[in-house]
Amino acid sequence: MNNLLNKFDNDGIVLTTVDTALNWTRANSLFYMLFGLACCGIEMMQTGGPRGDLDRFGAVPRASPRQSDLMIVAGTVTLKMASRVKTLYDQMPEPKYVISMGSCSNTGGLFQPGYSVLHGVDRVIPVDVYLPGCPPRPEALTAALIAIQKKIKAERYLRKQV
Amino acid sequence: MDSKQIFEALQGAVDHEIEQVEDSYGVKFKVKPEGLFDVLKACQQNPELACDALTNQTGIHVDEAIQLYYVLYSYAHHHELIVNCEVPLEGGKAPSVVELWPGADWLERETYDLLGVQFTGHPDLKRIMLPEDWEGHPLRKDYVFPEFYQGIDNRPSEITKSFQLK
Repeated sequence: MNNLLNKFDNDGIVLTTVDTALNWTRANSLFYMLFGLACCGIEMMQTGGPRGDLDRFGAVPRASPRQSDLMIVAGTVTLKMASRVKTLYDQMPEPKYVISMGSCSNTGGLFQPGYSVLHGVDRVIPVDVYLPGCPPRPEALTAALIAIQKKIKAERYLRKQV
Repeated sequence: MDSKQIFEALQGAVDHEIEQVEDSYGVKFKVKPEGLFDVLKACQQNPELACDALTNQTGIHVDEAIQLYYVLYSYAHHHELIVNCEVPLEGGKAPSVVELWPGADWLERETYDLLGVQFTGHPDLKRIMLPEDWEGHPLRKDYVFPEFYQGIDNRPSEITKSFQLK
């Protein structure tokens, strides 16, 4: 890929594998679904704002699950919300990824002793990256996004699943 | 008006028995459920009291009963008064005051949702915060937390249990 930095006199050719090229595009166009459930949602907005600027990693917020690759569950999931989270996750097209943002989303956190709080969003949907913090700073969410990108780049998506 | 004058004005306005109770949070006027509506109506419509705002309506489960509290405020006279009413835990009923203060609608729905008090005459008494298929009323002291909800396993994990107080 270093050759891309040099200007070509003529049309150039880049040799790579299909997996690498595909993963390169997938990892750098992660559309994440807006899922601000509590105060972590404010921190997620900060990350998407000009300072955190998640857009420079190709991650753009989408308001619809059908156009999203990544769900950032930001905040306390209540039992009432749990079935909604599941429905929205099911509506996302494959391949899809989930970041569980903050202590509440990971385990129930501070509100775990409550009667209506789900003990972690992983009881409803599979989670790829658990991000601790109450709430995590924008830098931490950016690190979680980079972790998702690393995961995507390591996948061999087109190969037959055994 | 101070609480003594309010008490006297209230006693003059209604026939029902009113008891003055005082705790560390201040003075409350305790009435029976039968007289609750008349007392609250007098609080609103008596020109001396003129409580035009229902600031809060809530309840607490104490011992074997539910204590209902109506916090009233008068913008005309700038005084506040609290009406207290005790209803039994099982089958507790209280008159709805939505026709006096329309803002009582959601407050009474919340009290019904979390404590299970039936408000007779309420236009739309259903759960306001918890899902409609929820069982029980969580702010009661004898409430048992659900382990499963709609097939979701919500039992505390081993790690959680290790942090819980014995």
